[in-house]
Amino acid sequence: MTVTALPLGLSVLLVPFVVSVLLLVIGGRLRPRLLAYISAASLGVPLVFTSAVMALYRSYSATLLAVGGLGSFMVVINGLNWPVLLGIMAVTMAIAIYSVPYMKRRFEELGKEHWGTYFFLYTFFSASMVGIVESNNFIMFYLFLELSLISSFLLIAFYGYGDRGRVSFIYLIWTHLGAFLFLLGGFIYGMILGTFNFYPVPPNLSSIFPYVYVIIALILLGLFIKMAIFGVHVWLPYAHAEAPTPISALLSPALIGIGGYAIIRIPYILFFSYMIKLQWALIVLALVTIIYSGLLTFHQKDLKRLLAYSSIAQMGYMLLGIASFNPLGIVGAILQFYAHAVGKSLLFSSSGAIITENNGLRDITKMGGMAKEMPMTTSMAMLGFMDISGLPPTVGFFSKLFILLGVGSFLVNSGVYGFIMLIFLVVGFGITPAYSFTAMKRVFFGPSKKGFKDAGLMMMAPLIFIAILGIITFIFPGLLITPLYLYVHSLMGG
Amino acid sequence: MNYLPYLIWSSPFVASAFVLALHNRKAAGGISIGSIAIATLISAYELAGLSGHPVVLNISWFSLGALQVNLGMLMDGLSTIMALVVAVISLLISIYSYRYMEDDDGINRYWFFFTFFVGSMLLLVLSNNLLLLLIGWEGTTLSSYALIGHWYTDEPERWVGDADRHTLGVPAWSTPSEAAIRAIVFTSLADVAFITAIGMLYSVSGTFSISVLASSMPHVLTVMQSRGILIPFLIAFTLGAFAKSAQFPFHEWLVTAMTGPSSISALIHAATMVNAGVYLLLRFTPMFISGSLADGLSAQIEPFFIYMLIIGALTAFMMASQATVAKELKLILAYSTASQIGYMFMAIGASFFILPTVALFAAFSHMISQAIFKAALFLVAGVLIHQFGSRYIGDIRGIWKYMKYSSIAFFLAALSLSGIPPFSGFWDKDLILDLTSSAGLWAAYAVGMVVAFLTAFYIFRVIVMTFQAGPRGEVKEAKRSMMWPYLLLGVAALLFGILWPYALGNISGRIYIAMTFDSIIKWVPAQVVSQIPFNLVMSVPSVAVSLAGIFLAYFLYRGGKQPSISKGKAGGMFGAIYAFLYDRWFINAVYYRVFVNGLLEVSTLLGVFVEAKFFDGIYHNYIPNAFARVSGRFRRLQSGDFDRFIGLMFLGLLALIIIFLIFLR
Amino acid sequence: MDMQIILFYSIAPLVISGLLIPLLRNRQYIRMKGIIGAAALVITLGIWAYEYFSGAISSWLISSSPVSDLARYFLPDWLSLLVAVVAVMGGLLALPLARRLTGNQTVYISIVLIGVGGTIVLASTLNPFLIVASWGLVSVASYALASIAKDRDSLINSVKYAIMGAIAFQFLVIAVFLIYSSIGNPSGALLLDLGLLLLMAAIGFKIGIPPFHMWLPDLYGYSEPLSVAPLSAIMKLGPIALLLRLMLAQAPSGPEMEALLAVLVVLSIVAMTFGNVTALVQKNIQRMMAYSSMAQVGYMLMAITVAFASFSTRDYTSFYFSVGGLLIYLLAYSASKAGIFTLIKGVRSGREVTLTDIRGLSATNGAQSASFTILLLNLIGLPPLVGFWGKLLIFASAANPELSFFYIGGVPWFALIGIINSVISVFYYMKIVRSMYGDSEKVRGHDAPARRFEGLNLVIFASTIIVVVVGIIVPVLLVI
Repeated sequence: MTVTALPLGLSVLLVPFVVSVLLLVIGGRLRPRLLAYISAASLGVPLVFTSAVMALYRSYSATLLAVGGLGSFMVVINGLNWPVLLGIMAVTMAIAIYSVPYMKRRFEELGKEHWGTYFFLYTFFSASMVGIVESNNFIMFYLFLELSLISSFLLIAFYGYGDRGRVSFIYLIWTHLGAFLFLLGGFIYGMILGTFNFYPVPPNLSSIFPYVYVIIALILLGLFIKMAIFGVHVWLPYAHAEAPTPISALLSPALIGIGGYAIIRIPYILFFSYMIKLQWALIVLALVTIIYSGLLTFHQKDLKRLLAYSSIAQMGYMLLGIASFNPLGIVGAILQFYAHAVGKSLLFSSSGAIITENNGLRDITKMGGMAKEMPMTTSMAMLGFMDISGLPPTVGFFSKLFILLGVGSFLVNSGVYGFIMLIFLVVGFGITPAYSFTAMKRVFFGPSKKGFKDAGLMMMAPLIFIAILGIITFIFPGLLITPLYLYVHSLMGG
Repeated sequence: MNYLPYLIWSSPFVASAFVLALHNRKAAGGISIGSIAIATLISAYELAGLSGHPVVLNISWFSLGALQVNLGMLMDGLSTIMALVVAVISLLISIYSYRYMEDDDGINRYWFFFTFFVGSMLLLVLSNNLLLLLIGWEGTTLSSYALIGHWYTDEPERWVGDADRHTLGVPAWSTPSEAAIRAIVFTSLADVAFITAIGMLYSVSGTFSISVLASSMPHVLTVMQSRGILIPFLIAFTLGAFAKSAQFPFHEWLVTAMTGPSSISALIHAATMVNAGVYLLLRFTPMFISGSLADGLSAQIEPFFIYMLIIGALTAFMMASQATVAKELKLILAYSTASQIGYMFMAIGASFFILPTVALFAAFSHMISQAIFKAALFLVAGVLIHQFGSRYIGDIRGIWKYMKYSSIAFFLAALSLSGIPPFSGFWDKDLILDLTSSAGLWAAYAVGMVVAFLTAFYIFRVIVMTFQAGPRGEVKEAKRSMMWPYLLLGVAALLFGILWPYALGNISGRIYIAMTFDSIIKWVPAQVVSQIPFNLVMSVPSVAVSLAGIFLAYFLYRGGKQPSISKGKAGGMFGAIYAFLYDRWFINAVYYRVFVNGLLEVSTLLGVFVEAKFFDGIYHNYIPNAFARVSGRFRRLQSGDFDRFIGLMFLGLLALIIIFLIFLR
Repeated sequence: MDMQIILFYSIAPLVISGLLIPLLRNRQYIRMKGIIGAAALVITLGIWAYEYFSGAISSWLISSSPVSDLARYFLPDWLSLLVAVVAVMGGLLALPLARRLTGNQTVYISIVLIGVGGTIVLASTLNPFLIVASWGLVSVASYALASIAKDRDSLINSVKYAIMGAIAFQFLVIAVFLIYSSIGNPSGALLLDLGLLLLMAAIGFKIGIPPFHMWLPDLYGYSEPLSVAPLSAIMKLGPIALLLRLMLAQAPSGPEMEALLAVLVVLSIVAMTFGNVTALVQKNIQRMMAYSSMAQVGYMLMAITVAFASFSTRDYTSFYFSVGGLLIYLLAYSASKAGIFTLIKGVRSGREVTLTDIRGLSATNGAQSASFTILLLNLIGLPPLVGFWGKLLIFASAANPELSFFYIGGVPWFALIGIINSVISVFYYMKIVRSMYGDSEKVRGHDAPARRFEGLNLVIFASTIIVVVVGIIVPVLLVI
């Protein structure tokens, strides 16, 4: 029942929300480019703050509001969510700038410009993703989740492609269902414990154990829908393929990855001893997800749909890292979020560059030989594919590495039968470079055709920024890994 | 602390960054050559200064809790010599490339990946940390992908394999962009197992440092054995090496990897890519052997070495047999590489059974020999293909008449490959055969002999066919700056061979000493150089079969004639064998039919049936439709009929009472 | 004077002005009449606020035994306070609508005022006579409202409504008689149970729970939207509060309690499922909203059920949550429905308004479309709108494992059904949004049906603002 004096951190983190409303109001009066800069700057404020906090304190929490029975609404920054935050903030900042040339084209197609609305929704969406990650409480988590859901739903519904009415619908219903199931799990938790906080871990946690499997099942199912794990993945290809590309570039890596982060953040930390009993089920699920969606990428003719299926596979990787149940795997899973944020945003943005510059071209069969005339886009897409295939010098190398190290540590203890799993693992991890570089060939290589145009600097500069970020974190992995490992290790106590 | 050695691998990386940043056609080549020259000089300097103990350097990189992961360098005999070999050969190739690639459109891209490739390889060789090693390892994968697919526009003259030829319905040719995919997919597949195995290693030993692992390997092996996963672990750990070094069943990527520029083929086959696998095995095999000895696990670990022997022998034979009928110059050389590396794997496999250090030395020495002569062969091949405008040996004629120096280099290298004394190829191949026979591994020995025969035959088939008869069209000697690198390599092949056997101060002895005494291999029971059981009598048969191969090639192909069989016209059994060999034992076709097409089939099936019909059908059609049906039925309840309204109210009240009574137990 | 009596008299301004306003015959005074009505509402609210701040409002729902003193006419507490607030808000939202009516504007105002007054009494009393009287007040107001427009649909439906209402009134009278005659009666258990069941049937009629709902789809679906807006926003509040209060005050214990609980659960599930599923295929938006009202009532019943169950097991967390959730949800529901039916009035040109009629609304009426979207999202229960907090607390309270009644095999089935229903409802609510936005470019250039929002915008935007602003401050309110 206390309202603490609004700490600096919170007010800083609320800046994008305030700015987003401002953008809505003044949107009609300013040039789009200026709106983009304002949006990016407002998203940069929490980035700078978070980085500073990590550099100075390594962990931070501030309470906004403590509501009796609901727990306290506070902001948490620590080693675990730092890579996630960095990924979200950096990508959303860059893509804000990227939006300008892209959406200009999209608005021309739609016949009407809504820059204010767009940047309002964009900034709101980005900020609410940050909110999800920093939350410490089921209610707050759900609240920001729904905020991000609504804003992204509207972005798809307003500016999407194809049958965007139906697609945004599918997206909304599915993710809403996922969010609600998650919340129901949280209800049981909160009603027993008298607090909905999952950070700090409630002292009377053990009173929950009679219901723990129901809670785990609900939370996992909800988050699996969010992550688009095999079986509940169907919505993703629709939504991510038909969303306007800047939004795909945020949805695909960042928003769905938060599901994986939340699995670590909530059931994994709270109910470790119960979760570990599900280890094999999770591993099988992860492998099935990886292989199934990896295989489906070969079937796709639409570039964005291909990337969407690839995102599902990447979520499988994340789940695999989690399912390894050791610090290395968890580090890998969180890094996977970051690497995927970097890589997939590059890929979606590259596909966006192709779309904008070539009259909405999305059909892979009509592509090929673009490398010569679109060298920049080719390079960015290449870096993106390298990121998701785990090749140096991109940070994807470390994420795949740590996931596999985690799995290796698990395999040591699982006897010779574990090696049967290794075969599937090889297939699953082998599919990613296979479809990645096959896609490179189908899109960019082969006999060069005339008539493609490369994107301009306004479009490419944000991508270069993201790419460089991916390389910097590759060269200095300690920026992410050291605090992350410390946190994870202290959690697991060994 | 001495930071100089870091320059060995970092200078190429820095150069690649500069190439990218400057984006200047003129400067790119110079920067790259300069950086590799720096790497060469420093590694030579470090090798000269190496004495006593391995040098371990550490710069803190990042930490995993208590574990500090370092940018570690391990400089012992093995790695330093290897680094020098890599650097020198890369340097020569880069000098050759300067002119060779002069007019290429993608010159900046070429030099960027070239230096990245060299840097990765040097990093891989010199790192004392498995994570760092992996970066180099994957770096070579990436650069090989980019360089094999350098000519991504896929003009037909860049292809490998005969256009329009189909094997079992599968196209028998590969375009550059496809060959690049093959390279990266094959190696990545195996790397998954490799990295996972590193994870296993880490979870048991708690370290990524190679020098620390060396001493904790007995413990690791014991733990693995106690969990019943010793052999699976070893296979997983070395799987990456098998793929990198193009051993069966991963060899297919290498034979199509010549779609890149010839200089890149030389780089991949001689200096960087394929040697990485051999290096890794040379690095870890002694640990495995001594580790197993220390804990009495010899019997348990034996199958692993037999497996290595079998794969090595199989690859050596398979690739040599295919080389005998191939028509494309670079393809023959590619087969040859995989086949020669098969020898090295045989030697490493044999190391468990007899004189480990000697066997490993034999493999190492053969790797150096192979690097020298194969670089020479490929560089010459690049010139020939360019001059004659064809990649088929049938179109290359009279090189001796017009291209004396190139011919000499090619000839010297071919002799070394054939294993004719006193070339280096002779000494170490013979040592390998010797070791297998004295270890009683007669099957391996027999295969080795057959391969020796085939090797001499296929390379002299090239020589005989290309040296004779007149030229077709304008052919001239290569530019000097391109020529002298391979001439130097050809001479080096000869010199290395001449100096190899001389006692005291000879090259092989130095290498042997450096490799065994100054390295972490040293605690394998070491033999002095005089103990190399070199038996000249035993080498008579191998020289004889090589000569027989040369003779047969001369006999069959002299005077420009071609046996009907190699035109593919012979029928019957010979025709079938020819087709079998020419079509790469049908392995490629089977891969495509079974795996690639199977994968695509499965993908389509999943896409159509599971994804669209099942998931989409249930979630987005069936369930909504079911709701709509129910909803429609509910709606029909709502008639405007007023009597029904009232009736329902009373019925409802009745229903409430009934429900109440039901639940009132 | 007794504080309670003051509060009872707080409805005096409403009733008096409600009765006097029709005396001002002149149509030109309509604006002034509206202001007078609004002033009356504000005065009423002011009295409640004053009493609240002077501490006169008890919170017996939580603290003390409920039925100690039947002589007290009036039990002003948190429940009645918040119902009064919501009802006044509903009244304020309804008053401006009068100007859009073609006739009977004055009557409309006075009915609204009387309805609000009746609602406040109904929500604050346990006295049988007051219950019957205020029920009558609300009912009469409802029938009058329903018949205020002169079109055929409104007339037919209001007649049906009135006749069925008469039957329901009989139910109520009998129920009150049975319940109160059981007090102190040694063999009164049967009477009490029967009374409570009859009460449920009567209230089920009033708030539209199947199978007592038959009047609702027709009335809400086809009648004048301006009548429906206050009908759905105000007239349901009283009966809901009454149900909660009577159940808590008079309910038996033991197995009978469980059986009553089961009946309530069934009613709740039937209401939300029937409402949601039927709404799925509606093309007529107004009718869709009629079914949506039914579904929304299901969630409220869920809250009442949980409150009832947790009150009897003395589980105060769930009790707090469910009652708090109910009150917040009432506000969310009233604001949304008032706004939505007003919007429907704006887009309706013929007998019904279909999804195709509002195609491209976003292009022509951006602000109205945005408001419509927000109000619908509020009904779905999405943050940060106020409906979210209501649903959150209701579902959370139903998921409390302490209430073993709502658990089978560890699965909180009641909350789960609510959540699944909530997800189903997204379909049809979003159909409207999709219609307004998705197809905008297809329609542009064609002549869209006439949309006349003049006179309505105030209500539309006010309800939207309430939904957003209250949604944002609710977490702060929860702290208090």
